[in-house]
Amino acid sequence: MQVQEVVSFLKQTPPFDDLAPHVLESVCRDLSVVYLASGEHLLPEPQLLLIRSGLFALNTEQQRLTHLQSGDFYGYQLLLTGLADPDTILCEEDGLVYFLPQESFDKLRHQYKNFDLFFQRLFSRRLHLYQSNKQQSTSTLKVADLVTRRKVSIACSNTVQQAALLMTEQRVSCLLIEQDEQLVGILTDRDLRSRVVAKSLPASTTVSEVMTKTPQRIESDRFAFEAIQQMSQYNIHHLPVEQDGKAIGVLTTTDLIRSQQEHPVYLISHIHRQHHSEGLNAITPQVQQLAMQLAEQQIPSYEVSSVLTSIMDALAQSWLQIAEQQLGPAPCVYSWLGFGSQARRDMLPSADQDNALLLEKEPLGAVADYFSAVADIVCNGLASSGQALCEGHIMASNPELRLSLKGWSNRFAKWLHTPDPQALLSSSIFFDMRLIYGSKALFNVLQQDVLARCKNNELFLYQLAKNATERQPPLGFFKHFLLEQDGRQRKGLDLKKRGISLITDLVRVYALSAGIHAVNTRERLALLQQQAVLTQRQQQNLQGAFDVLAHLRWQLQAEDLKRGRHLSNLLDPSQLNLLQRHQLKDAFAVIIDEQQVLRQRFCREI
Amino acid sequence: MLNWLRKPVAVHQRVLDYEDGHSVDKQCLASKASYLVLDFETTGLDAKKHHIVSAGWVKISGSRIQLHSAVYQLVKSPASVGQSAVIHGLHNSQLQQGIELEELLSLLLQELKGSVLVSHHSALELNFLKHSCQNSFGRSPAFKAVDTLKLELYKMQLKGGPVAQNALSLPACLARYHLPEVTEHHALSDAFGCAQLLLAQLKTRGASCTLAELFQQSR
Repeated sequence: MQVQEVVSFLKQTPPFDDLAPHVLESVCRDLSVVYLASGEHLLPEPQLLLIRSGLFALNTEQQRLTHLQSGDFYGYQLLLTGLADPDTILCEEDGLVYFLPQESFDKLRHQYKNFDLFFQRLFSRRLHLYQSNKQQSTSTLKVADLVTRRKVSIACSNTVQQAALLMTEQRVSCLLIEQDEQLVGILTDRDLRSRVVAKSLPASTTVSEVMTKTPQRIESDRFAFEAIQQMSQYNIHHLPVEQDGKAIGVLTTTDLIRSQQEHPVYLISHIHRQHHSEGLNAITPQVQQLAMQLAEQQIPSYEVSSVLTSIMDALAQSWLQIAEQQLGPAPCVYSWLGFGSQARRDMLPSADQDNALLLEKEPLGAVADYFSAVADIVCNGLASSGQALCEGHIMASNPELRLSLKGWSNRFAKWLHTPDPQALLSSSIFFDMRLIYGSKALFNVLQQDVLARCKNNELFLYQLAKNATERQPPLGFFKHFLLEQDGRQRKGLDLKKRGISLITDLVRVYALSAGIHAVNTRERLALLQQQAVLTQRQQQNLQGAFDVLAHLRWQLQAEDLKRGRHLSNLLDPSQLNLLQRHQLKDAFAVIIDEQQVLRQRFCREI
Repeated sequence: MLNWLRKPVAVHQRVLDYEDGHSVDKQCLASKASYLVLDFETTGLDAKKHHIVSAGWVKISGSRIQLHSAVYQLVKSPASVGQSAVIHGLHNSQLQQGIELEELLSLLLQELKGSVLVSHHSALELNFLKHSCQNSFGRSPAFKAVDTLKLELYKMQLKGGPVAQNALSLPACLARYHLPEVTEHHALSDAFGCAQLLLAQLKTRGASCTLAELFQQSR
């Protein structure tokens, strides 16, 4: 029996929180407890120090490094490297410190990989890359949880009639076609209808002639949302599931819908089925409900944002179709563009509209009138579906943003060649753009044009980099959080302005300098690393920091949604657990480092 | 079956062993001494009528609480715990899992050798120890304890002014030193809380404070 007070403290302190109860008890047994009064120094010794209470200042040669408080560690540096730091620890408020001997520390590191990883990360100040086991194993549904393990299969040499009989007998809408125990195709109800009956093929036709060959498939240990993505991407309703290279069953859209009534697949297809504005008006609560569900399932935040963006894309597409129905066919080819977070597939429930129109012809006369009407229908429509109008009027309803190719090209040229910092700041959102609806060819021409103008344009990149590093993360000199107030007089950390946006700004500079088409921040980072613009370490650090910040922001907004509050980007750091606090500090530290690297690369005096 | 015949001789030896091996240098610096911080949960306050139901202790050496020394034992009670279960939360059925009182005392005497006994409101622990030893072993060694409650009272009286009711309870003392709360009325948690309190109290007494002074202030 160990002291419950100590055990329960360890239980909520990462990385101990991942250890099994009996391991915790034995860790507890190895601890000794020291009380320090303010003014006393903690002398270094080869033990892991865990602060239980009080406040301690970590100093090195007269300089304050940071404060240690409840849940913070010290001494792992010495234990990991054998090298003593010249640091001193001064107790500023009386407190208790737990000491764990080197022996026990080493044993835990050997036995528990995640425990070792935690301290390695802490040591290299890369804690934002650490994931607790709990986070990894949360309730996220796996394909294996949803699929019915019932394999109904037939060989490809059988006839379609035999296949139809088997399907009727087994009451399934899809057959797996196997050869030598390998999945070689699938055959669905619909295939029989459209490929056999409609084409008047005889009942003796072999299955191999009409089946879908080498179908899409998924491993049973993948996440359900990955299956959803795969199915919507290829527009299929049956997905064979494999385990160790062998088919074990078929996942159907019905399985997915049954598991979650509000699932994106369901919602996106619901949106596409709406041909009247009333149906789309009612969609907001469902979108919010979905956002909350996804957030609660602990799906990685970039996936949640991506799903939400797909829904918002679908909404815009549906409204455009409604506009075309009402106004008749368009007088020329056009593209509907999304900017900013929608372009980056980075949206949150609180995202407002950022869109524009790219037209094949100059917006004059009847052409101007038609697209003005389209823009009004779509922008107001989106607003009624729950996507707020843009306060800065970055919307297609603004005539300045309904331009021909030439018009847009000139607009970009102006930003690029006379980079007035203020003008550039407000235009940086346009440099993340994506086609939402309409002509891909038209959009490609514009994108090529813009990228070609950006690359090697040193003055422009200089100004862009300067803007990107103007604002800093809210991390003080002593590694403490700097709180600021929002318009509602709440104090906190602005995760967007002083976190996520700083990373997207920074990555954008590199992406434009390298002529990269991708706009999604993760994709940009991956490509930048592939092209050796960024090192792998830089890419990992930035992505890790981005994920930590994005995840915290999702949690924040999900909580706001749940409580029916105004959606905010302002985080109260006292709401964070210890791991999150460490991770957030590291994420901010990565941004500070990378801003410096960016400045060195692009802001040398020209 | 004939164990009871051997009892008086064998157990008396425990007491002799203890008296033989136990010595504490009163001039030792308080910060360097070894302590055993003890807490009993009992069925009542009267050592003659009531029983020990559980015991918890933890040792301090070199001014550090050594958690490997932490012990928690339930004790088989010869009578029902009655209404006292409301306070310590232990029921008769649980206590049947416990060890015999005699076994507990042997263990405790063994552990206590060379350490200073400490508890919060030590009169209770001392009384129960004395009575239990007398009943089990025929005689009790002379126990002496440092009392964290008395140490606290001493400091408060030095400062002057009235001492509020409840100001000397363990939770109140812990709070005064900004120490974490402990689960009240759990013998090991209380012992651990008391040990933390002692460490804090030692800090306020300066480096030159000796055991003799602590005993003095515990009277």
